[in-house]
Amino acid sequence: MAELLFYLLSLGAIGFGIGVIRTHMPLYSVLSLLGTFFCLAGIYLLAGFPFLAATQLLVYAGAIMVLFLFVIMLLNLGDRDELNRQTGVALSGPRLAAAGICAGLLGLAGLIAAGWGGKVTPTEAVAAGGVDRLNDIAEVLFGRYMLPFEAASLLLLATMVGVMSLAKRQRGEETEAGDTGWPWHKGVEQ
Amino acid sequence: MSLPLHLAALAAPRSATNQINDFLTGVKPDFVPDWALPLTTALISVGIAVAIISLVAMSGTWLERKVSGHIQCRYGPMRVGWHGWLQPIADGVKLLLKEDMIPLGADKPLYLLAPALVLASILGAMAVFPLAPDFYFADIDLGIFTILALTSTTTIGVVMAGWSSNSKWSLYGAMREAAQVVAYEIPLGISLLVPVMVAGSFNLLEVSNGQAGGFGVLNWYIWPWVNPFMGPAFLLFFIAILAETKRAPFDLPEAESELVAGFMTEYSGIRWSFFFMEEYAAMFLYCVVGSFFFFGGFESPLTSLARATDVHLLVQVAAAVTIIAKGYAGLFLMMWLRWTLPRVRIDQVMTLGYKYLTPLALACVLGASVWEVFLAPVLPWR
Amino acid sequence: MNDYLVQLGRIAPEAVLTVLALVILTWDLVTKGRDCRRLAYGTLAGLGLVVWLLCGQWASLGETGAVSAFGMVTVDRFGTFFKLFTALALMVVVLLVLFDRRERKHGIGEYYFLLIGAAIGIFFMVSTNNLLLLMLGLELLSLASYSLAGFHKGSQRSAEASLKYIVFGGLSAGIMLYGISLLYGLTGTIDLSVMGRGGEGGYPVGLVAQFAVSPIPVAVAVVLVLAGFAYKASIVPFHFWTPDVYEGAPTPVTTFLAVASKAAGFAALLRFVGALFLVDGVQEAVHAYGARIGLLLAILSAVTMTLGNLSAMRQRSLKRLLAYSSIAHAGYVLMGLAVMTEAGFSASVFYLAAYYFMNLGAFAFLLYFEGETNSDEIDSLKGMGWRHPVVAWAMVAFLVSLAGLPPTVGFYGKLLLFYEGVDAGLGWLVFIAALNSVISLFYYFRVAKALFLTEPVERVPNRQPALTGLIVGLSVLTVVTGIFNSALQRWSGEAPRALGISDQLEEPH
Repeated sequence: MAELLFYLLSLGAIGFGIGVIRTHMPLYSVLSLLGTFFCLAGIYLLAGFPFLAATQLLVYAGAIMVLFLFVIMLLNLGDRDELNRQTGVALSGPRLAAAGICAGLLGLAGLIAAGWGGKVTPTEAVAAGGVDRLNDIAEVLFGRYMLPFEAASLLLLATMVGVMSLAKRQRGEETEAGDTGWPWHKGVEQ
Repeated sequence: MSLPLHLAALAAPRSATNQINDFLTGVKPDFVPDWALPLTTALISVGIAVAIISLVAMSGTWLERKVSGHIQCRYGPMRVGWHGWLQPIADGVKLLLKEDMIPLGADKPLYLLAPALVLASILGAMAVFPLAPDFYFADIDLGIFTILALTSTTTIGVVMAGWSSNSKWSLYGAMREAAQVVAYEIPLGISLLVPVMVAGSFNLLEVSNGQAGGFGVLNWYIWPWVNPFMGPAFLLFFIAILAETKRAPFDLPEAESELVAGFMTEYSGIRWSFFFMEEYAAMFLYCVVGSFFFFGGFESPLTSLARATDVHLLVQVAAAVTIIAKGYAGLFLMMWLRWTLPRVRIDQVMTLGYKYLTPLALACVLGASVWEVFLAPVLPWR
Repeated sequence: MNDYLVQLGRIAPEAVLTVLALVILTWDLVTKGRDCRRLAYGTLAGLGLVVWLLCGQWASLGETGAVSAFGMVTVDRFGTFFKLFTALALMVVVLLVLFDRRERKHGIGEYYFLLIGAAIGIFFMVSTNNLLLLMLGLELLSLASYSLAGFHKGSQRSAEASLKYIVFGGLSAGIMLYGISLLYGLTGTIDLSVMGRGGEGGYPVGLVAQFAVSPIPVAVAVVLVLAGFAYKASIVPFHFWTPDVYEGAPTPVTTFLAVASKAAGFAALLRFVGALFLVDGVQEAVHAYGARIGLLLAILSAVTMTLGNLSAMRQRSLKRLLAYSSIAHAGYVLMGLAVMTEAGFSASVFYLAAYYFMNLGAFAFLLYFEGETNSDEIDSLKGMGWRHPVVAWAMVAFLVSLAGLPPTVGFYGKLLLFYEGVDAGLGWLVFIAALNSVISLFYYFRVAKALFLTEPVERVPNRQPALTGLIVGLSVLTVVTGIFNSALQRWSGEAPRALGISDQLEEPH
């Protein structure tokens, strides 16, 4: 049954993945992406990593919400035909071929590497590490991999600051009404 | 036919799922194929979860109307049964019989899928949370983490509903919901880290066990002598769950005075009631989580007394009564607040979430960890 | 706890930079961005402290000594060399931001924060054998650079630069990660030193064992990883972003990208190639393999320098010209790598050091010139030599050095590279490089011609004395290090020695 589930989830992940690029509606793309993530979470669970599965849901459900917002806010909602025209033609023949060739090459590389190099099966490593328990994860994360963990936090901080500095209005353009509305912030009360 | 080891481990031997499975194995006639067994188990488990959610939702609606009525100096529903206690059933029948309308411009597949998705996420979360020390579906290490992960997917259904309805009200509601939930998930998760740190576990049962003793009261995590940062953390947690469950003063996604009914404007009948069920189930669930992590979980004087008698069933019942009572107390508090506080503006919601709650929650975690590392080991009562 | 502090002490430069970044960010927040000059001074002071720490680290480390911090960071002279390089380059960049007449004068705390963040990324990148930390460092550098490239929000070019950079960066990071995951799958470790030397049988297996099975998967993985470095160092065919990003980004950021970011890419590439193929104790099969990778690098080097130089000839904008010239220089540096010996590596390191002086100077001149004319067209340079003789003559020194003519440091760097190339039997590559140097003379001379070979015009008063001082200082260094190069040569020779490269590869010749 586990194998059947695995193949079902894998098929689902691939199917949704194709859905992400093939569908005409951007919102459907986002939903397909979500489907892919859900299937991947299922595979993680099957492989014995419930923490990873839960993290996948928690993180991506959050991230996907932001994507949702982008899709809704940035795209013209009024005219659905317009929407179809904009996104439907993005996959012309040559582009599709190029993308297919690239993906095929990468996949082939992976297959070659997996098929010819296969001296060690990854399950051994998993069995030795045993990282499906929460305490083990914490020990690995804050012990052996503390530095990369901190580096990742810096990475996120730098990205956040970068995004803010790119997205926020420059000080000159700021309007007086840009206050929060809290009584202890001076500004225009509504 | 055997599940892999780790999947089997998810369902601990004492779990309700396993007990149902054992029971079914015992009574299974020979002509029933083997593969039907886990399927039946799953269906029964889901049935139990749905029943719990429905009960919570029904009692919740009744309670809401009574509380609001009494706060506004009226009685609320009085006609169906004693003090209107059968009113939810009458409402349920009405909703079932109502026409299921689908707007012409709606995106039909998403429109139909959305309520189901919303309900599914809360059902999934139900699997992790125990109603009694020996009544739960899955006893996993990740406990609260899984609950947060699964409940966070509710928003997807809500946004789908809002978008697919093809209505401005719905869309506004959905966007507010997305923005609000993403903002408040952060302080919610971080403030829960404080009790998690004290308990050293994500597992709800272990967290509850960690608060045993002290006449069932004195060892609750909320008390300042356990960790003084617990109180502020609980306040942050409570504000965050108000926003997460779209309750006043954070009910902007529904905001009936401006957005008709927000993201569920276009829904009717049984689909609409799914959203309602989700809302009350989520409220109850978060309140129960709050009682597990701050107010002793199964521990109360009642449970202590029952434990003294050493009768297994009595302990279970006392624990279940305790946790349900705590959950309903939280529910009552949320309703009280709803009929007391005015609604805030969306920019105020965002400001509060990002600029105040998140840094404060981080400060709480920092303070609590300092306390745990340096002071807790030398305190005589810890 | 004590051990923890010792470990922390080993990454003190990184820690100080991190604290500095946070302080700058908070300072900017508290003062509401009105304090930009003092922010710059604070950044400079912090960087000075980092430089001092790094100098101490350099002195305390032996020639081949290496200590590990948290099992992740390898603190050795190679890493310290490039960290010093980065910190010093960043100091100049901060000065350039301070002197930039077109930069807005308040609320640029994020600018400094992102610059420091990028530097932290470089610090991690150049001093780790762990592919995970390397990737994180690379991404930290990249993500900070993306935002920096688009920092002039009003300008369309800046936005275009940022977008192009992020698209190319995302692509190459994806390819690199795929390569890393293949390497991990093949060997069961993400530690380069374990990968190169191999475990004692069992798991994880070294790359050596994988060669025995079949070299093709390793080739695929290594080439995919190389793509990521090639993108950072703008080596063909991952150079497409370079001219547009250099042109659109604010000039100080361009300077940072052209000098520090590129050097970091090369440093990581050197460590990667060195640790995987050339360390002591690798076997015959790996050596033969290293030679093949060397050939690949040699071909890339030839293509990169030729393409960079030929494209540079047609440019009208000085900024784009410098961008293509930086591609060409990446080709030269790659020559030393292709040699695959320690001497070759040290020639590469020396050339990067030389590149530091001349390119920083050239971009500082560009900034001066932009401040005067609000344009980066070579045509607008006309008469600059008469109006601003001091900086113009300094620029001539940089151009001479970039073209590789004596008596400058660029000449000596190229000499070393050519020598090592010939020594390793890569005569054809040296020939192409020499040909390329001649081509490059043409366009560098075009700039000099625009500066001076016009009708004399009246000299104007110097309105940017501080920037002039910086440019003159760099030009003096360019010339002086060209003549008295023994110290620089010694240091750049010591840096790659820490990698522990064996010279066995030369024996078959």
